[in-house]
Amino acid sequence: MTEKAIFIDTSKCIGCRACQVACKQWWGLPAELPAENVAGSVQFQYKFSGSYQNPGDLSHQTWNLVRFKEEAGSDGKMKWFFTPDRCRHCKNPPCQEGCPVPGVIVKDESGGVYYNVEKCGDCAKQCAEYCPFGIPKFDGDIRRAFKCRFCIDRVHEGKTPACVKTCPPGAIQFGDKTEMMDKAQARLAVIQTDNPEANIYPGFDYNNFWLLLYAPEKYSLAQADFTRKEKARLAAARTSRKPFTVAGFFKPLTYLGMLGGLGLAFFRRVDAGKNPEGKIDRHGK
Amino acid sequence: MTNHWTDLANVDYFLVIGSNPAENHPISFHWVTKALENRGAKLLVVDPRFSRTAAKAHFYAPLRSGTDIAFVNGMINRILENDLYNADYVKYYTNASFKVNAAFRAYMEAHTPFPGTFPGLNTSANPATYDKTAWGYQVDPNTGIPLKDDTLKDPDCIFQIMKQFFSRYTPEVVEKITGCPQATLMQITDEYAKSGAADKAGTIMYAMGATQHTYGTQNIRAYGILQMLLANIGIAGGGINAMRGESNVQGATDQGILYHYLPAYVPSPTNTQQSLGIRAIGTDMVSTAGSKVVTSAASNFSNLSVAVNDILVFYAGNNTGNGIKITSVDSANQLTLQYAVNKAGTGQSFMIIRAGSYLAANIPVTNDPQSINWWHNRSKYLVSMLKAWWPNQVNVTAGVPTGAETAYNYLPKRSGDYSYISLWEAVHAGTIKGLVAMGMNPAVGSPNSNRTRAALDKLDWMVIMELWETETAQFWKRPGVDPATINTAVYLLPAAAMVEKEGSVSNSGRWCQWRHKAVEPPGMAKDDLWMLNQFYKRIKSRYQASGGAFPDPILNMNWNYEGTEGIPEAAKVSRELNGYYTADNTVVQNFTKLTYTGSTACGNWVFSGCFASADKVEQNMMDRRDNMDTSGIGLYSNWAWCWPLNRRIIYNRASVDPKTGLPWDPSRKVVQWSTADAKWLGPDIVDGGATNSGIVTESSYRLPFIMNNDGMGRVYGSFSLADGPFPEHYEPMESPVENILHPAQPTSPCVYKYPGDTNMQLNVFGDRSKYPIVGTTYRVAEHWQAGAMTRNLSWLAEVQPSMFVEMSLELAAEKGIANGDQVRVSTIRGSIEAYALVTGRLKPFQMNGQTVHQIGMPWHYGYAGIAKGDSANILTPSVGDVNTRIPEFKAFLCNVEKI
Ligand code: SF4
Ligand code: SF4
Ligand code: SF4
Repeated sequence: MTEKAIFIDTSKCIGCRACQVACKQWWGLPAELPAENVAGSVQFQYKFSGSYQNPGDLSHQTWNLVRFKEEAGSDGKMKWFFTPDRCRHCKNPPCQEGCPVPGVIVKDESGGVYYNVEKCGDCAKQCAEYCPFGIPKFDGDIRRAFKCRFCIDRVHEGKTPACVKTCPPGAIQFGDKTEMMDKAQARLAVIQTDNPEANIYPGFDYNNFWLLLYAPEKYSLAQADFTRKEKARLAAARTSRKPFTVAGFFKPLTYLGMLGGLGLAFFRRVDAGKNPEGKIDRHGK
Repeated sequence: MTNHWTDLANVDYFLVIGSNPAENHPISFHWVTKALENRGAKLLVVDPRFSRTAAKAHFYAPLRSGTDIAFVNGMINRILENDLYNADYVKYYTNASFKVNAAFRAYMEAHTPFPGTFPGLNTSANPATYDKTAWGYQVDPNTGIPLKDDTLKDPDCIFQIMKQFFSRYTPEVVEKITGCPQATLMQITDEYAKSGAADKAGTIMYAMGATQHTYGTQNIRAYGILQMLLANIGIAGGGINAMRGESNVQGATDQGILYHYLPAYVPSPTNTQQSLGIRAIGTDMVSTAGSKVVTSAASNFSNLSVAVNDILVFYAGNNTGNGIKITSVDSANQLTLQYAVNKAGTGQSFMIIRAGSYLAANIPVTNDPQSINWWHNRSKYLVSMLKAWWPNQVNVTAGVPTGAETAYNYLPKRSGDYSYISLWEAVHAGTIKGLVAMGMNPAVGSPNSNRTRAALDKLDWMVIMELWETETAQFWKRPGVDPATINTAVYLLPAAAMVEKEGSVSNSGRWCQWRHKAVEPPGMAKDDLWMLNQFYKRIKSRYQASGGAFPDPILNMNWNYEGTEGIPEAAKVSRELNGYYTADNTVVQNFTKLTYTGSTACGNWVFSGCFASADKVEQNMMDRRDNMDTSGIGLYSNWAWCWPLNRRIIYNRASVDPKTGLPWDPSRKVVQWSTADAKWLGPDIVDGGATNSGIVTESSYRLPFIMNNDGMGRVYGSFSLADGPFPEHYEPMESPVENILHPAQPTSPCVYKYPGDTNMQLNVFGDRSKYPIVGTTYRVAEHWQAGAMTRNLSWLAEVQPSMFVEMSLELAAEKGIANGDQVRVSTIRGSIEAYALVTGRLKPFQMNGQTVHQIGMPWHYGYAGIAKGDSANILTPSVGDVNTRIPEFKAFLCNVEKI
């Protein structure tokens, strides 16, 4: 397989969050609806994020999150930035360096970086500590890390990732990396005439890159911080780490099914049993 | 839409007003984005709130909710003042050159400044109505053809009257009304006016932000006028494009779901139209050009009791499309007409329509030989529909329909106002005792919804077909209500969702696309057709068993949709919509084959052609899936099927220069007239007859706006609307300010006022001293309509979990509200609680020395589902648009406070 890349053209993103939902749908990830705890309240049932950005951050159940940020420009004109945030699929993934268990973190021939859930386990979460963008998130209950998987299963079947397939304006594109780089560069040249700050983020050393109209901070996208890795290394050396064990390892069904049974296209079925009221879906499955 | 979704890729200038397509029609951005990327198109967004669409805009103009007319009239004024309009198009294709009755100008001159009412207002009626005589065209007394001045200089011609009328909307005045800075208005106008060039295209994308006002229809009129002036109708990348809010709401409208229409835009009869009105038909009318006397070789008019004021309409022959009033019945076979016929001819087909009948009221007439006046065919469409519904009543005897009156008598006659709000008032009054709600959630979607909920309490019974137990389905146990006090019998029928049933879905662009069933519905859920079939069969058997007040329409109805094992099939319905020849039961090719004699049956004339690939050849055209485009302008003519006649861009005859018959813009060819072939060539199907010349100087030339009896695009509505020939700025029923144009007439004079009910706050409007803030409602990308489809899905609940109200930093500071606080919003009708979303995307308006705050909120929430919240419609008023009665959801007065 030729090396692939995801190119997110923010000039085209309309913040509709179809990609965010498509990611959850494809991977069968449950919704996060933190309770507000106002007794008996219909209107104040859930915690309010104060923004269109929901849930508030990436998590082990949210691998692709559309970030929203607004700003009144110096010219008095309003700006509203939105773009999906997720794993950048680094060339030499720092997260992989951090992981003590061989074979958990794989840099695939497609360019995608995915985590083998079955092998992932009870460690000190170094992947998250090492990642310069703070992407992997840990599920405290089952003690495994999760993040965007480049829809590796789809890609190996010759399909585009779920988020790419869904995006209405075609803001997320997928294809051979060289082709994506060419597209990004050509588009940058056009966009730059009206947007002098336009840039490619984080760069072409990644298999997921963005065309941004402004600096990444404007979109709440983290700048790569490679010192995190060093800090984590030092911190790990200071503390005695809990040893990793595979024994007694329980693999919940949800995650077992993830890489295998992927005929999960029909949304209501995937969502079964996961809503906060404990209801099952209409089909009773 | 006059155009269609994929056509958005052909646009150079987008004017997005009264809509928010990035959020509410995200797929439209698939095509918008193409135009932006490939053509360098410009996106202009006008919205009270800086929306996700505005975030993508090149130019953004804020305006106070409810002031669109002032804004667009300001654009029109600037375009007229600075000669930015397309002079050729205006001259050839609009009624700008027509002369209006002198009384109109006399009134306007005598009433300066304009008082806010046009001539002829009768205020003693409720609603107030206009006698529109003075609004009419001047006509030639001999021919009845409207008088024109092609130089556009005559003081009575519409262009001059128009210039005068719109001149009041100067940038200064528009700023004072809308709160939009003058400079922004001028910038948007100048940018959009560039679309008036022959090789540029501009489109208007609108939705409910435009329509949901007491003057909503006039908002759209203003858009129409703007598009006419800029030559944007009929062309690729142009048009006036209503983005429908639901995947099949276009289909619902086409099938007659509106309260005043039968299917296919055939008006439903009123109780003053007791007869259908076909007095006589024949094929032997003889006329002499320029003579007012016509004769018939065979018809004996005295025997047929043809009377003065009946109307003679020509259906085939030299005078096709013309209709003229009869002024005397001279002898058994000779009539004198009000106007002279245009052309000599023998053996012409004709119909004589009874004065005062349904057809007399609903067949527009013209005596202009260049006007196709398509609606003269309405008689064919109604008779064919009656034949489809009651085939044994409507028969053909020697070429004459018999029994059509009997079938017509089966149709219910409207005797009052059956619009949405009025229906709920009838429930309140106990006139309506039962409700069948199919995929409808009025407990959330109705204006003043506390009142609607209280009305539900009064029903004897309710049948609701739904995917979930919605707010309406569980109104009897809603918060604050003791179920023991509700006596309504509620039946919740589980319904199949869109992918669990088969049938056609008609999108905003009129594309009718067949959808196959992907999965079986769960449990006992059934599709709508199955349920309706059962409804019909069971009602019929009850009538058969025990009779009833008027059983004939039910017992005689044609109802033949069952296939194997008694399961009704959507394709059988489509075949009936397409229509068939009654003699041999083969399908008609399309509606041009329909007759008024009963020889054809057709359930919906605009759908005629959806189930035939050629005459008598059956094919489900809606199921076509060829996604190759050979047109060069993205017509995708072999993908699905589109009404009418698979014509993708309507009024496309206006896309050519009538001096040559060639496209205004050769790079965007929709159709073109070929002199060599003496016919129109594609890629699209031409509007108005393939062999009628496109060159204005030729005798077979026909005008492009075939659905108007004057054949023209109307920059002045001589009769069409209830509330005036031009759009005038009125304030919403609840407004924070005076109407600075005419303080004595602040709101539309023709608003229907419901009888007051102080208890339930009907016809009571909030005072600006108590409720100083403008409120508006909208949808968000993440939820859909009244929320049942999305608030019941955890992933969609997750992305927009709670009811919120958006307000400016300035208002929040004034009220001591921080982002995320719990707040109460109240109007005179009720109050709701929600989270505050404090944002720079809303800004207070500075208008006429006054600061006006505006807040906005989604209307999706209710007390059922996963994501719950208070319903914004508890706040909105039950008052409707003058012409359509759509409620004024988009502008009302409220207050907000921290809880
Ligand atoms: S972005 Fe972070 S998680 Fe993704 S590959 Fe790079 S280091 Fe690993
Ligand atoms: S590539 Fe797949 S896993 Fe990654 S964000 Fe897109 S949908 Fe989610
Ligand atoms: S689906 Fe596309 S347009 Fe929508 S938020 Fe995601 S990237 Fe943006």
